[in-house]
Amino acid sequence: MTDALLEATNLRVHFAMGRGRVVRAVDGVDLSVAAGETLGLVGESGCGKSTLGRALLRLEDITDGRLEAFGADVTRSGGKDLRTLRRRASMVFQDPYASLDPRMSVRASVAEPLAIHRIGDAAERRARVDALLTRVGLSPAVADRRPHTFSGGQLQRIGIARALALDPALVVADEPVSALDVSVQAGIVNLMMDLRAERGLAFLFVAHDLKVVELISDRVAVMYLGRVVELAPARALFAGPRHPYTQALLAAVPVPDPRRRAATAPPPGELPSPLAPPPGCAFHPRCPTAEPRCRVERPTLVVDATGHATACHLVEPRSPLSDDRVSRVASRPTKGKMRPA
Amino acid sequence: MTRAPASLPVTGGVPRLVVEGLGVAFDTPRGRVQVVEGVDLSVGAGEAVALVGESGCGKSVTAKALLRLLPMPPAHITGGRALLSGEDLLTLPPDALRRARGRAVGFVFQDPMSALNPVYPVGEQIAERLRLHGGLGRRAARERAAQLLEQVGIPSATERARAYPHQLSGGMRQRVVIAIALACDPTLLIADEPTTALDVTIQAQLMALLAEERRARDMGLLLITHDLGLVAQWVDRVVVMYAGQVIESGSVDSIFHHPRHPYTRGLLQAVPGATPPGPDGRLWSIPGAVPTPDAFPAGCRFGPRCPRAQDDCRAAPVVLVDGVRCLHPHTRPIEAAP
Repeated sequence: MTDALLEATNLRVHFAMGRGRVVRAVDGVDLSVAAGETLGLVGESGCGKSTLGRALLRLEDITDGRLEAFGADVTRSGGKDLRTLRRRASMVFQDPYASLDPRMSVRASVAEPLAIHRIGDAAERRARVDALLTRVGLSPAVADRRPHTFSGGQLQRIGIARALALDPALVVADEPVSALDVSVQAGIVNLMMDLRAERGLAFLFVAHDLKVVELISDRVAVMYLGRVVELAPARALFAGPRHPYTQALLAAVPVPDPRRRAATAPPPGELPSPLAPPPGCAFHPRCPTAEPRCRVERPTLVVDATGHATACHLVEPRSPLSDDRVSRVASRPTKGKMRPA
Repeated sequence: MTRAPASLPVTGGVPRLVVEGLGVAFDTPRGRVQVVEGVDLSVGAGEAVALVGESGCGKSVTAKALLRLLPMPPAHITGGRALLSGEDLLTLPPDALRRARGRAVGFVFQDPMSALNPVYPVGEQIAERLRLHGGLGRRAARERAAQLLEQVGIPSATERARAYPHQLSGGMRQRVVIAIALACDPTLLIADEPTTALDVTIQAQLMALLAEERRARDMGLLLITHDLGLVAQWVDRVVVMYAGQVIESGSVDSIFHHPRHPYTRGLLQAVPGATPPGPDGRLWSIPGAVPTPDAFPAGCRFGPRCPRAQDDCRAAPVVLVDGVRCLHPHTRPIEAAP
């Protein structure tokens, strides 16, 4: 896949919890991010979305599977290939207070990636920081202040400036706006959309706020207990979710309109413990349409001709529209395991 | 005599809670700062009212001040009344206040772990409330506790009653807190961001539970939240706060479809999915940030961020008239989402 910046194949990240217990935080995920695209990654707390986002930058050790980034296998490698990954891809974190060193000036924090990768001299770094701060909507005059003198929204702008310091091709943003008030959140989302348009940046946007994900994403992956259960172009996913979990998740989002009150009841139960995931389809204990086979047989992610992939025994893949359509779709970076027809 | 403020018609019949002119100040190293000023609100029987606003607007301080849960000092009630079924919570003697808190009002806060005692099984914590405030004996209290756990949707309630808080999920803990809050059949439930820490499917389950209990018990619900989606789905009336003041109040339909204050309108437009996005699919955002209480503007507190502000807005404080604190309110309904 030449246009994929990152490609994960059957990726697993497991954590040993002692006494032989293992949390399978990411358990067999196939996912790729193409240049310039925004991939939304959604799911409830504990589904593994943050771990997956971090693993894609090798901020978590990969237990099994393969991760290719910028043309090199970086599953386990260190050295040059890992440095390339860390230079071409960066991260914006959820908590803007915690992600900046309180003792460093904003200038030092934003310039730090440049220093680590030995890019530019002092004057060039200075000019670069000023340009970055200006771009994210802050005055270069604030660069010598410490983080505690800024509001949450301003700090998140600084976090974005820092993530852009090395002019990356991909930014992994883990819940970048969920700690912010709604009026401030809108400004950050707008900034990210502008940057994407200007620089052809790709985003992996990890979030639980489905409305923001719908607005910003080209494609969306839905995770449940360490696996991707649905992956589709954003419009198709929000207009016609196919996996019963995705349907339940979308139905549970409160619509900000009192004239459109929810008619359906939320799904019963809670996310099972990742220490003891249910056998078969992990969603079956909460699924309104589960059948006997769902309790024993784990569904694989099957992609149809429109690029809409679902891991559910009860969802029939839509029939291909034409051969031409199929081949075009097959060349997309969208990847699920193709089941033989 | 009890008087519902004219701007806040009680739609639910008998008023359970009437707050008039509530003011709260805090002592700080830089002097006394007025954090909440002149707050009026009311909640009727069986009615759900939301107190909404962004962080720092004073909504949680208002809720805590009603129950006198703020540490005093540094907090001071600088004025107003909070009448619960006719009794002023702000002046009740300590034992009467304790009775009111234990029996007449239930409360649910954001973090269930801080409301529960980590070293007692949850069933005992519900039973304790029933023994202290409900007049039940040990055995009756234990049986009633199990019933309450079942009522709030905890499966195998009798066994779960023996669980400690850390053995339950966040959603289950919040159900326990709700069971404690409902134990003595309160006339009013105050819920401060009850589902903010929880996932959307769990949030929907708990909000449905609160709505059901409110209707079944004819209980008033005061929901404090920043989540406009929850407000639209679950309440009857809305009180919007900004910088320590009520800036607009009205029925949920009028607030969402005909907001008059520019701040209310800006807030709604900033919510993805609420209104048509701006040019190029961008979200509307409000420039600037909420002022801190020691730097509230002298005129309209929203003035410096307001696209409609004029000279008169800066001249003097703006009063709440007919449910809106604005000299130049919007007069037309908001455009509907497609």
